[in-house]
Amino acid sequence: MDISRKNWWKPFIFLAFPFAVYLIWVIIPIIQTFTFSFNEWNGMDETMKFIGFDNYSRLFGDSTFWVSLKNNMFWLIMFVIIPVPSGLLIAMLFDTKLPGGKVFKTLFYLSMTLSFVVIAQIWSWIFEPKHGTLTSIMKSAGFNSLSEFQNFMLNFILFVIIPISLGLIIAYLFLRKKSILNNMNNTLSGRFLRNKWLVRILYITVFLIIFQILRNYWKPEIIPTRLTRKGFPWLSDPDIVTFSLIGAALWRQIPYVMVLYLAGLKGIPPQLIEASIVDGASWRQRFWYIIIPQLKPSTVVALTISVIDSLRAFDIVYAMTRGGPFNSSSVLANFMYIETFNNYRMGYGSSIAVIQFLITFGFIFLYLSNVLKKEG
Amino acid sequence: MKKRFFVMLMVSFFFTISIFGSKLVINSYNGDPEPKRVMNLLVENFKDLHPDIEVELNIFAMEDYKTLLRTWLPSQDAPDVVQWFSGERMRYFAQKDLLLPIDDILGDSFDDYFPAAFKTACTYDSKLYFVPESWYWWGVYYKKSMFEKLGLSTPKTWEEFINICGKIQAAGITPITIGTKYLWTTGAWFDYLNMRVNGLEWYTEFLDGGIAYNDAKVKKAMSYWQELVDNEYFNDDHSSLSWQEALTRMINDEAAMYLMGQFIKDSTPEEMRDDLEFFSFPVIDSSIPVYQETPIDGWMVPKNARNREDAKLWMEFVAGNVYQGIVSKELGRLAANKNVPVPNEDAEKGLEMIMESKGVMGFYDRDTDPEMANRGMNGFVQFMMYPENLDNILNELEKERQRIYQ
Repeated sequence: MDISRKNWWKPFIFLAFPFAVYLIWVIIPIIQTFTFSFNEWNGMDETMKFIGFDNYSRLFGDSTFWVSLKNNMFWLIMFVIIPVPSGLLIAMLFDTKLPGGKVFKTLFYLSMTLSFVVIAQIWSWIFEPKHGTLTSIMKSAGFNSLSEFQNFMLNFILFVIIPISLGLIIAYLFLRKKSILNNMNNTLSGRFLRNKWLVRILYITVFLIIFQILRNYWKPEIIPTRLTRKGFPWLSDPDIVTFSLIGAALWRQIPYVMVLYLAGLKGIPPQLIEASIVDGASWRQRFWYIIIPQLKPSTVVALTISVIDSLRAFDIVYAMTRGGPFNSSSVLANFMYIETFNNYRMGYGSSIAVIQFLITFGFIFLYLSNVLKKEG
Repeated sequence: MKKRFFVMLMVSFFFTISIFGSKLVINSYNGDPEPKRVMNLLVENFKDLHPDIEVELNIFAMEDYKTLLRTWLPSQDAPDVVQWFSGERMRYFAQKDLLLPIDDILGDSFDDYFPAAFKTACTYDSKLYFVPESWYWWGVYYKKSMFEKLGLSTPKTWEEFINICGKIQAAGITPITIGTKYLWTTGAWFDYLNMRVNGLEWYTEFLDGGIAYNDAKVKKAMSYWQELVDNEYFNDDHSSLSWQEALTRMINDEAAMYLMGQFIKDSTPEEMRDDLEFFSFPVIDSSIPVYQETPIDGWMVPKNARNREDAKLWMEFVAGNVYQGIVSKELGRLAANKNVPVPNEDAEKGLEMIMESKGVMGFYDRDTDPEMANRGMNGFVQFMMYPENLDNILNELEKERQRIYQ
C-alpha cells in the first residue's frame, strides 16, 4: 500500500487499539514488575519499602534460586536436543505415505489438544509410585525397583548399544577405503569384504566379544539411593523428579515440533526432490543437502519455541509437584509463583520474574536479530 | 508468571462489570466432594430464610483458595464473605486493615453462642473479626479391623507406639502413611512432637518467632521423628502423594496409621467410615501435660465487601443453630456453637480428648508466619527424605526465621 503524505496518520488509527491493549497488559506490567523488584512489598499494603538491590542480593544467596535456574537449564537442554530431532524424524515418517499414517498422525496430534494441567493429571497417574502405569510396566518387565532398571539400562547401553555403534562406525570407515578393497580384488576375502552386511556383522561381533571380556573386569553400577533401592520414586526422588516432569512435557512438545516440520515438509517444492532423483542423489544426500536446508525456517521456529517453552515451564511443575520435594524440581516460574502468591513477597517474586525476563529476552533477541537480518 | 497475574486482573475487571445488583457473594474453600455437598445445602437453607437475597456461591479447591484469598481482599470488589482459619492466619489480614470488625453483630452476644475460650482466636486488637463455624480434633487414625487382625491395642506412650510400628512393619504393612506433596501434613508431626516433648508454652513462643529453629529443644523433638524415619516406618514415596492419595494406602490395607484431622472421614468411603478410629498422639514425656491440636474454621467479612448488610446476615446465620447443626451433623465436626449437640459417638470421643487436654493450639501453618511455615514445611519434607541433613536444614531455617522476624 502506498501511503501518501496526506494520509500519514491512517496507519496509526489502525495501530492505536492494539497498541493500547499491548501497553496496558504487557508494557506497563513489565515496568511495574521492574519497580516492584526494588521494593519490599506483600502485595496488599498501600506503601512499599524501597530497598534497592536487596531483593537481588538475597536472590543470589537463595539456594532455591540456583536449583530453579539449574532445572530451567535442564529443561532448556532437553527441549533442544530431544523434540527437534525426534519431531523431524516423525514428521519425515508421516510425510511418506505410511499405511494407517492418518490414524497415527491424529494420535500424535491428540496430546497437543490437551492443556498442560490435563497432561499433568494424566502423568501423575502414570507416575504413581505403587500402582501407576509406568510402575506396572516396570514390574511386569521383571524390575522390582528403579535402581534395578537403571543398572539394567546402564549395562545395556555400555555392553550392547556402544559395541554395536562402534562396530557400525568402524565398518563404515573401513568400507569407505575403497582402495583396500580394490587391492584384494579377486581373493576370497576380497569377495567376502565387499558384502557390506557381512563386514558390519563381523565388526559388531568383534566389539561385542571385546566388551563381554571387559565386563568380567569392569562392573559399573549406579549406586541406588534410599528411594530407588526400594521402589519407583518417579516424582519423589529429588534427582529423578525433574526428568520425569520433562518427560511429561516432551510428550506434548514432540508432536508440536512434528506439526511444524510437517508444514515445512509440505512447503518443499516437489520439483527439487524430483530433480535430485534424476541427478542420481542418494537418499542421504537428499536429506542433508536438500531437505535440511529447505527446512531451516521450520527449524529456527521449532528451536525458538522449544527454548521459550522450556524457560516458561510452569504448569506441569506446579500441577505435578509444586516444585517439590523440597524445591528440588522447582523452576524459576514456579519459584516466583510460590514466593509471590504463597509467601506474600511481591517484591522478591518480581526480582525472580525480572531475572527470568532477562534470560528469555536474551533468546528472543537472538531470534529477532536472525529474523530481522533476513528481512533486510 | 506475569501472565497469570494479568488473567486475575482481567477476571476481577469482568467481575466489576457483572456485580451491580445486590447480591451476596460467598467464597468457600469446601472443595472436597462431601464438604462441597454440605456447603450447597447450607446456602439452600440460607436462601430459605432470606428468599429476597440473591446468592452467588463460589467454591474453590483449598490449595488454590489459600493463594487467591490474598488477591481478593485488597481488591475493590472483594467477595462479601470468605471462609478462613482462625488465629494467626486471620490476624494477618486483620492487622493489614483488610477485614471488617463485626462487633456490632456478635460483640456482646459472643459468649451466648460460643465457648469463651474461642474468643482470642477470633479477635485482633480486641475487635472481633471472625465467626467460628466448626472445629475438629487431630488424632492418629487407624482401622479397627486391621488392629484386631494383627492383635494390636492402641498405644498410650511413645514406647508402645514404636512397638506397634515394629509389629505392623513385620506384617509387611507400612506403619504410618503420609502425603507431603502439599507440605502441610508434616506440620502436624512437628506440632505434636514439640507439644509432647517441649510443652505448649514453649512451643507458642517458638511459633511466634521467639526461639531459634536450631535450638536444642527442637533437635530433641526432631530426634523422635528421626527414629520413625530411620526405621522406615513412613511410606517412602510420601513426597509425591497428596494427603488423599496417602489415605488410599490405608483404605487398601497397605498402611496402618495416619496422623490426621477429623476431616479424614470426608474422604473415606462411606462403608469404611465406621471402621476408622483414632487415638490421641502418644505421650513422650510424662512430666509434660497432654496438649492437642484443634483448628477452628469460620467466616469473615472483607473490608471492601460491597454488600455489607447481607454479609452480616450471613454471619448471623453462620453463628446460629441451623448452620452449625448441619455442619456438625453432616460432617461430624464439633459445632462452635455451644447449643448444638455433639453429633455422634466419634465426636464425643474427640470432644472428650480435647476436654482432658491441658491446652490446645491451631496448626503449624495457621499459627506461625505464612512464609516461615512454607520454608519450615519444605525443610521437614527434606528431613523426612534425608534425616542425616537435619542440622543443615535447621540452620537454614534459622536463617530464614531471623530474616522473617527481624
